[in-house]
Amino acid sequence: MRLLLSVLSWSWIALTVFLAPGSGDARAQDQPSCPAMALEPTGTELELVVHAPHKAIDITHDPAAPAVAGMQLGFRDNPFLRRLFRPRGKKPSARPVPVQSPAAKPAAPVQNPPAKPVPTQSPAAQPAAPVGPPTAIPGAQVSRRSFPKDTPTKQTKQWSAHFRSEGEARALAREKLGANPVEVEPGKWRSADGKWQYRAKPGDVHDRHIHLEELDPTTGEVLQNLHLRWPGNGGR
Amino acid sequence: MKRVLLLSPPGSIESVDQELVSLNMAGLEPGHISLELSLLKEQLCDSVLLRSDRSTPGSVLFRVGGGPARAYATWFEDRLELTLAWSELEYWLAFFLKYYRDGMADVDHLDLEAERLDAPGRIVDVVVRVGAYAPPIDSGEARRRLGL
Repeated sequence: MRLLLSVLSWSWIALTVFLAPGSGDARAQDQPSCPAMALEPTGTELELVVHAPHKAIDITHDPAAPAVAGMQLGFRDNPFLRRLFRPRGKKPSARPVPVQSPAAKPAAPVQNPPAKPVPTQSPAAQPAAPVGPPTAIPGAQVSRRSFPKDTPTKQTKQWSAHFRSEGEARALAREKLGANPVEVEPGKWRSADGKWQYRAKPGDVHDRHIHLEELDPTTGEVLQNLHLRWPGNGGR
Repeated sequence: MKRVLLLSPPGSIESVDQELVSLNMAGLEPGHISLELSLLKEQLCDSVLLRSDRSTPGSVLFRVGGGPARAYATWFEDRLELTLAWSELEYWLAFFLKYYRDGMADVDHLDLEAERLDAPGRIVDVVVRVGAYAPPIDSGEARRRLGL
């Protein structure tokens, strides 16, 4: 009897997910500016897969985190599934979670797989910029903040260091930038506090080096400019 | 008054799609370059023309002027004209004076982004290369200097 009930329940779930007009795929298709999405319930977890034009993002829903994007997109019109996937220890809200268009609410930061669960943030805590074009730094966001233009002066200290490979040089630059780097223009990334800049234009990389610069975050003055070099046979 | 600096081998001027220009100054003495830049800074000349008979583009004309950008660039058929901001000229002059003083530059090149006046919204990346420069330190020392 239990088995029969289980089979019937899952059949109903499948029908609801794939045939209901408000289901995840259909909703994603209805949003003209929204990248293609697919909702995949797996056991007690929900996977929201977003295929953006330039990269794919996998966001695994942590049932402990309420109101993630996937819940909002796929389950607000389906009370049974809302109950099924609701966070542990929490009763479903009497009011459905409002669906917001991508234009109204910036998307979560892009993370290369394997991605960690994206925590829900209040609107005030949302990132300032949406997901941007591909960058050399996973998770880097394109800036809408105004960072001062980087300007070397006669006081700028310049030095260079050699590394075994391009990867080692880039790893050091990323490490110095820290969490939440921001792409300020093509080939330039700043640390969140604006103190460090990682500069890697195609011409630089072709010449087997990148730059790590310390800036005055207020004026943009380049205090020091470090050239990180690697040998021709160093590989990536 | 226009001054002329003639590049001799291995010096060269190279351009890639008018977006990346490489000025190899290896054939020029740093003292000579410093003097020419000083003439510009002191407004004792209007411009300095860097010319190569063996390259395309064949020349780069330097001026100094105002404006919020580090430099402005205009392409003519076989010539790039660069107007450097005063602070940029001082940066270059300090670089070449140190090169003259020490017998080698701190690093092997300077980078400059110049906003194009003939194609608004686009830039020219200018790389100024020198012949003698301090050897790079090893990665461990770099990490130590950076506090990592």
